[in-house]
Amino acid sequence: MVFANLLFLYLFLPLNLLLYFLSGSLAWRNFVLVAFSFVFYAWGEPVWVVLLITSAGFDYMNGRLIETYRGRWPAKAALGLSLVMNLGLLCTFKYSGFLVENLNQLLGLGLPVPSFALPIGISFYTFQTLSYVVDVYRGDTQAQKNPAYYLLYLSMYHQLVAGPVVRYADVAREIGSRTQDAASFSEGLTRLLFGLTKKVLVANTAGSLATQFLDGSMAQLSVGGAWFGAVLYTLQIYYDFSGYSDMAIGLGRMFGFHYRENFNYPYISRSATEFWRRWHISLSSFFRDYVYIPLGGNRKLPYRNLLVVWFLTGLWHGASWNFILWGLYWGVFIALERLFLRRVLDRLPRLVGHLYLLVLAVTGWMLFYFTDLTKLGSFLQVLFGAAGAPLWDSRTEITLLNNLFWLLLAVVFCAPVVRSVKRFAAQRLSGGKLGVSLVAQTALNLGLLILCTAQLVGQSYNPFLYYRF
Amino acid sequence: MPEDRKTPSQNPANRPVRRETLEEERERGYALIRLKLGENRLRLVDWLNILAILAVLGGLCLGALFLEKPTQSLLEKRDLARFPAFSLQSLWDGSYTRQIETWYSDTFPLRDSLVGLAASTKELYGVRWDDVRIVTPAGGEMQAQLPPVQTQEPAPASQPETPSSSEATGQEDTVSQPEVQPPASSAPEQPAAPVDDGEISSMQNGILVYQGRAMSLYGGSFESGAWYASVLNTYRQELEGIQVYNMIIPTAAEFYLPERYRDLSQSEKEMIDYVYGQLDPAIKRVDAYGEIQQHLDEYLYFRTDHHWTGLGAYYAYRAFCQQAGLTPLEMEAFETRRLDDFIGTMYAQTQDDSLLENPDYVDYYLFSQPYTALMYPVGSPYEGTHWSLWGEYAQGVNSYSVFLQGDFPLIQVRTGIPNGRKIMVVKESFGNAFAPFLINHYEEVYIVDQRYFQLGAIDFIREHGINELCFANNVFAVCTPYHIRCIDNLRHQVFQGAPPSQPQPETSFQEATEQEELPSPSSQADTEQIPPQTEPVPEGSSPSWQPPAQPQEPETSSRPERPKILLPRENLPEPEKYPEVET
Repeated sequence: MVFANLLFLYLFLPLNLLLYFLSGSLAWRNFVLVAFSFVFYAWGEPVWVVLLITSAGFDYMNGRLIETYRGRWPAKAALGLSLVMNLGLLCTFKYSGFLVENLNQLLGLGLPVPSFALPIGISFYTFQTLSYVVDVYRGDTQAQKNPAYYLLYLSMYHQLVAGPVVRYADVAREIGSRTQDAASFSEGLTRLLFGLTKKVLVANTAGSLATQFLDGSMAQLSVGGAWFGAVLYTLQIYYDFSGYSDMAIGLGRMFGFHYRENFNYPYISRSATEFWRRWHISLSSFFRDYVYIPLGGNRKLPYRNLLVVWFLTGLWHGASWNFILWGLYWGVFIALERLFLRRVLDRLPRLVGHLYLLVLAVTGWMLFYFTDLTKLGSFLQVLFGAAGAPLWDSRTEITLLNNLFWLLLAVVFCAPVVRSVKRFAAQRLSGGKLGVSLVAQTALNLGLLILCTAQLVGQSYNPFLYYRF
Repeated sequence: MPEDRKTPSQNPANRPVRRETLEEERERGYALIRLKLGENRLRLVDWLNILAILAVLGGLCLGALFLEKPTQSLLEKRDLARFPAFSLQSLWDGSYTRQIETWYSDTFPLRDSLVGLAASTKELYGVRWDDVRIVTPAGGEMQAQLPPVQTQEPAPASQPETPSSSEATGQEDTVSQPEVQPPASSAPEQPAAPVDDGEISSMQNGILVYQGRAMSLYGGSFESGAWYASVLNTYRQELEGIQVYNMIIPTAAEFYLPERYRDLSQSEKEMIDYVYGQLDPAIKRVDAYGEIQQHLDEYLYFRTDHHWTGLGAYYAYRAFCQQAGLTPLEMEAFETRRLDDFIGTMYAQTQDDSLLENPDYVDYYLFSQPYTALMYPVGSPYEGTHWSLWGEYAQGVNSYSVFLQGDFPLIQVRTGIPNGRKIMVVKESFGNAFAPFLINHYEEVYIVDQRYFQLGAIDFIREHGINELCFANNVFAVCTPYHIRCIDNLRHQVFQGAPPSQPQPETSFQEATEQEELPSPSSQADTEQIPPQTEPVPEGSSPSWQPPAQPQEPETSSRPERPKILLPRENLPEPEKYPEVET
């Protein structure tokens, strides 16, 4: 199931809230959460629940073993087993097809290409459970004694399917004891609607517009159309992903959990390095803590470490060369910045840094978008005016004008407008005015909820040219 | 406060640049609000927010669960999804839950108003400079979700008031046989999966709304065009001694797109000329384009519907007469009648309010030529019922179905003109407005819909002594693989239902009126032509729509090798890049 869905908003969530808050004790509440998480996860493909439970049980055991035998060989063995199992699962389901295909091509072999359905969210939860085992091994966190609690952490539907990658240590305490009050619930609800709006009103629209320019014939694309499509996709992926994180954070808060922020207005960055401190923070910090620093970080062979991290970051996003290319692309610019570019950029006017990052990001997303490298090539040619395409066309012009206000808002809200308004309200407004502003917030929430609902219902609008009765 | 994180708010200057910063700032903001508001006001404001939102969520949830569910959407012209039947298999492969989602959104409370709200919101997204808007019709991520297999549903109200027997024509007893104007896209038996024609693909090129007129933007592939031509050439080869005509009908975008937006739509003229160039020289090319082009100031295309008007068809008929050696009737020779207040399919597609301000009207023509007609419904290729070529009861969104009363597999017309000329017209819905003109010149006219006809056309032509064959297709259909495949399969398909009660269909001609028994659903046999159900596209979070799989080729398919085509132009668009649209 996904959040931006009528069945989730208007059936699953109300039921979940009802049963959760009718339950008196925390144990029952946790039980309700696990049960609903299973339904949520099983919704699309029930079979993978088994994998999830197995994974959780296995690493619960490993955590206990590590703690019991700390400093002795069974602890090491348990860590090793966990690594092999989790990475093995990920490789089998996500990368085996890609690997064999490339081996076949490279060595001229004719191995049968395995094709597994990718269990939903496997990239996220294997990372979560890995981070737990490693943290226990390092002594950064205590092992969870209660297997059901560990299962709750791993299967929590808020972040199960699309992140953020929540570290066990961040929620460990809240699994066993958490306070809940109206204020948190209300804040969480507002955050949830905020994320929903990002996803439904911005990302979905951007997506349907972007495909008109990116999926069509390259021969018909103008330079302006290519940039327009690329910008739309840039908007889509940010609003989609950060909206999803907002919804996860909001849901967590409603149930008493405090997840970390996952996005921090990435498009206002002035360098690739800064961008990756603001984009998908839970993932980049995962790679920093569990790959980059163990490899030696800045101290030992930093450029090799960068290369490894960015190769893996790319690969994590998908089993295809374009994702690897995309990861390495960022790695190269981060390395260049480390070498000299950062110092150059710092001396230039701020605007240059912003433009540099935006062009970098927009172009980068095209590497991300086109899994077909030949298509990518011809698109980039159009984008940079090497294909002899016209500069402008009427489809771009009309689409741009037809969505002008929407586009302007979408661009403006990539900047920390919301944060500034919130900060202003919290810091400058007196109690009474603050109260009024919060009531206004409620009105806004309602309006956005209704607009989002309308768009979600509108997606089911599927007129037929002819009778289909 | 649940927060016990260290909040260094007293000393913002020293705020360390640590990973916690973001969360700390967030919590500090919340804490400040709580502090400033005070407990009572805070509680009030928070509960207001909670109750307001939960009231909407809970209220609509209850409504969705307990209000009576609608089963049809008139605007969308389809059955709404129903709650799926449970099976372990469908649960396991995820289709069960997917269908529940479809059911939930299809039958959501206040659905029509919310759909309307969504459409009007989108109109506010920007400016409508020069009164131009491109619409990619509704449907975001769920576009890929196909409605579940249609359930058996009697056709809704508005039944023909014409021949009394038409009630029992099999319209309402065949599974979801379209009431009046059936699918370009959806042969009723073709369960749900929108084949690559019609509504879905028109979305990709989009629809341009310009000054109250909506036009599907054209983008057909030349490879498909050549394939279409090669299929027609095969007919010509197999039908020695029978005159074959081909008429390709241009659509509104070709003529009414303002000059400065020409680049939005590929040239239809170019495609028509290209296909005509690929045709066997013995096939006569009907220049509907040229004739229509000479009368552009007249009312040739609807503004709110994707079809042409009766008048547009009249000029095509004049072009046909030129090729067929006939003298066309002048307008004065027949009676013109009119249906007003026609808001057609383009409005349903775009939901663009500007189209409502300018309703269309449908003019149709009644001839003094007497005729008798039999209509053979789907599943009953040997037993026809008496039929009228004009469904004067048609109204509202279905007004175009005044022509032939809609799309049916076969309508057989006898005129009593003793000239021995017998013609078969193979058409999609554009042909409905054109075919009736022919009854003024032929002894027999067989109007075949390429999508639904269930017998082998070649044998049929021979058995009935038909000596002329005219293909009438609009330029979108000409480049739509689904249509080409239909025409191709038509040649030698075998009806797999009950055999004819008598070898000669004609024998049932007289008995048609007595035809009371309703064909049982089991007589709904497939023919080769009907593609098997395609798998619904699985739901994905990717907003980009993937066209559903092409219907598989039936085993006995007679589809020829697709010819290797030498294309006369450079820079041809890649095949399949353009979705083709049957409009």
